[in-house]
Amino acid sequence: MADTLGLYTFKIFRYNPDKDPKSRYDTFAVEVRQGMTILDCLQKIKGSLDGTLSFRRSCRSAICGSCAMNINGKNDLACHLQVSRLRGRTITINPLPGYPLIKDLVVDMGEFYRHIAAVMPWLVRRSPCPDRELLQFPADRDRIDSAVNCILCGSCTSSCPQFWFNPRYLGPAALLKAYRFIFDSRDEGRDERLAIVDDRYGVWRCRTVFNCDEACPKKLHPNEAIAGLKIEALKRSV
Amino acid sequence: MLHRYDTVIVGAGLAGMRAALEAKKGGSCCILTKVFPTRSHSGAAQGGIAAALGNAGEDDWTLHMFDTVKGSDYLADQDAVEILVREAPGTIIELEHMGVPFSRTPDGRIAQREFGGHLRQRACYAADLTGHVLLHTLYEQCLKEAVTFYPEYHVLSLVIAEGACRGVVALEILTGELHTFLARAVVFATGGYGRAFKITSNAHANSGDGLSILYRAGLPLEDMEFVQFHPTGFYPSGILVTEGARGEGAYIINGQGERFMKRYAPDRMELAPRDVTSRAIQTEIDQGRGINGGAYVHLDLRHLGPDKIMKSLPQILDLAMRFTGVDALKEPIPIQPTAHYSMGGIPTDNNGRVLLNHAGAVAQGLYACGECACVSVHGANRLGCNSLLDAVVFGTRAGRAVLADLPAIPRGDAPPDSEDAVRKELRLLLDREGNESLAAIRDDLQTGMQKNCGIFRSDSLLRAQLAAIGTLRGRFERVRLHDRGARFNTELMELIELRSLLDFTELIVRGALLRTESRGAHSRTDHPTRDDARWLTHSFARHTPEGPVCDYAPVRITRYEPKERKY
Amino acid sequence: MARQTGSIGWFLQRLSGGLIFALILVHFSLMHYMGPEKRLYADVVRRFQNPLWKSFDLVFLTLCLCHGWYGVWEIVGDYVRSDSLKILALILIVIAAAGLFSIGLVTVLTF
Repeated sequence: MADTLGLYTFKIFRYNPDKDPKSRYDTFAVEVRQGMTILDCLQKIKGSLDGTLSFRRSCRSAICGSCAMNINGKNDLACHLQVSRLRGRTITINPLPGYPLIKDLVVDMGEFYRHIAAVMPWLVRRSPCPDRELLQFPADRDRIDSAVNCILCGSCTSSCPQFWFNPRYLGPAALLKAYRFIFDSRDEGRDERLAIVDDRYGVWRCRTVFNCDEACPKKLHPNEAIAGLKIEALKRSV
Repeated sequence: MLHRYDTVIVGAGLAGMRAALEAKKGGSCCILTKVFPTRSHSGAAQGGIAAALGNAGEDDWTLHMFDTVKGSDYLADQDAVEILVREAPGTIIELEHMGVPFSRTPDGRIAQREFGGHLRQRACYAADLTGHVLLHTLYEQCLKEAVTFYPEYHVLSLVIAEGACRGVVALEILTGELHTFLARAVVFATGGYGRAFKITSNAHANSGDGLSILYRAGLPLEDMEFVQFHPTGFYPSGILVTEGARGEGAYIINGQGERFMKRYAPDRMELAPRDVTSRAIQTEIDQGRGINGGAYVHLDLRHLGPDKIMKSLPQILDLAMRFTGVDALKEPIPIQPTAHYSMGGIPTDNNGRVLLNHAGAVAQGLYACGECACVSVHGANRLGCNSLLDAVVFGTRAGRAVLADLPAIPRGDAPPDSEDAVRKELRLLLDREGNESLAAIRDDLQTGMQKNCGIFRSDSLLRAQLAAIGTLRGRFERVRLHDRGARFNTELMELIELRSLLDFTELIVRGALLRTESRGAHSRTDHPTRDDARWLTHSFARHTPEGPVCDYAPVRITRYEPKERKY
Repeated sequence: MARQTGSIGWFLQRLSGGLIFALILVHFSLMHYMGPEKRLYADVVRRFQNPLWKSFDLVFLTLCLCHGWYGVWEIVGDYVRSDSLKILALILIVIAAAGLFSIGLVTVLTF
């Protein structure tokens, strides 16, 4: 497994406003072995070539969502993308588009998190809960299966042109979160939550560009969820 | 900058957020965390959370308790285990009511699967993303209850005045500024220390910072020598393959195509506890029966059929393809044991109050829960599915203890110089000139720990590692940072994390060296048997100027006398 | 009426889109695939004598303009930030729509 894939050139976006108000690209040559991910390469660059290179990372197993970035023009998780899967010998890495820059590949996701929080992302129960679990049949559980798998990496919202121009737009991730609760058979907060997403800056800002579906590293379908929400919101208006 | 709260919680994993939900009821409460809450490593737990719900066949808490005690190789404190397993069913129901999307049985109840060391089907799960859904649900509950978060704040030290803990000092990663958080109660929920090892399932963030902070403040750490190696990590990365895979029926196969677990645990086979299974795999590898003689064996899912695999183990299917290039529907997955969980940690009583010493004195205003704490419910070896349970049950209990204690804890003031010492330390780290590389030291430490203090240990290996750590400490003093700025300085963070690693790896090795027996996850080739007469004790390592010293305290045994452990 | 959320606009846009699609099929087959090889002025006049065809074209015209007008206005809403520019764009769109509608109206009604 230690076969080498040879030398790759990493062209990485650099920005540190404390030193230089302008951004630039730095290139690094990295000897890549079979099995190395983009994150492994970034770690290698940080460890042995340039310690100032900054990026977020934690679990390295595609579940924490820290290391989403734009790799060769596509948003993805650095930790689960094998270098060998990419074409060409030059790999360009940019921060996630659409969010304010902090430093290098680190972006400010405050707005993104605020949008998640805005859709009442918790189970609402009005009637009392029994002593045992609330029953939910497998078919009902299946409806929210893909929505509960969202890791909040921000790739989808970052790929949405509507969000680029209107940061007030809730964006696909927050709408997927709303879907996860509105379509949860145990939830009783449907009307309030629908009222939040049935808004000019909610589902109706979505123009079905489908970038979100394409960007999702977990292969989820925010766009489908938004379509489902639109129907529900419409039923509410008529 | 100064902030005041009634309760400050360090760490936003399951335990920390669960504690916050309780503590919030008694006053203001905030959570400091060095990664955004949903990035915490609780989310990487895959297989399940144990509780004797009895949704899949007869079960009750005494059976769960016996499995846990036996799994712990009789080192767990049985009164604590009893609390854990008795509160488990209620805890699961409460989590479900909070919205956790568990997988379901056809009649709508929470589904339960088999797990290693549990003789009943008691792992409640959500496909292979159990930790993920629990973590997100608790984060959502915290949003609902308006718990204040300070994400990307790295806690560096305690504020101590008049012998009591009054809060913490934290570095705001974004700006590089120091903040003092004054609190009447401080809860540590900082997670484990798998990053001490080269091959680990743990996140980069799991560097045991919380343990190091308390140890530096003069508090003891309990049972540090017990580190769990999970039998199934992907080869070569060490990333976790859930025990749920074996719970669903997967086989482990060696290079000769043999289901070799029949020689190690004839009754339980692949579902033996993790220490037994990891040792078996390592033995096969060491004796040349790895796949093609290599350092891995195979985990075979194929006979489960595509439907079951895609339904119950979707994440594993995806990760196997991405990290090993294997289509688990068609080929077996290459796996190896991987450092996974720290049984040891900050000693606490059964309500999360931190112990000052092995005699059981309690520190005022200081609490710990989750993986960083040692209650001890896991003893020498944790059973799968008991860690999420531990985090939630003892997270809740720590939060309630805070609630109960708050009225009696006075509101103190910070010493005016609380940040000075930390500021000086940081300056020193930032300005240091030298020729050593942080990454190289970390790599040497992890490689050494893996080799000398891994699944099999011996006197000579451990002594070699102790010496190595001494050398690495010297090299640490000569690390020169590239990044000396204030803004989002992740290199500085890594250096602080490395310092933590150097602190507690010494305790792991020293504890392991002193414990001349084999028990649970601690396996000495030169002392291959368990020695209850001498070692049925918890170790408490504490800092002295001459290096760490270990004290010992007896194990609390209530129901089950130690017996020979066979599976 | 409840707070304008965009749902009605979205719905009408889909509705008009669907109708236009149906009408366009009729229009295309009629104008380009059916009828005489060479279409003469007299043929068009004859068809417009029928009030049904007149209504057909009036509906077609109205739907197309409404759909187009609202669509452009939504795009302006998405991508134009300044309020004054938005008002300017609105005026231009309304003028364009009104102009096109008048031309269409004159054409259809003349016969």
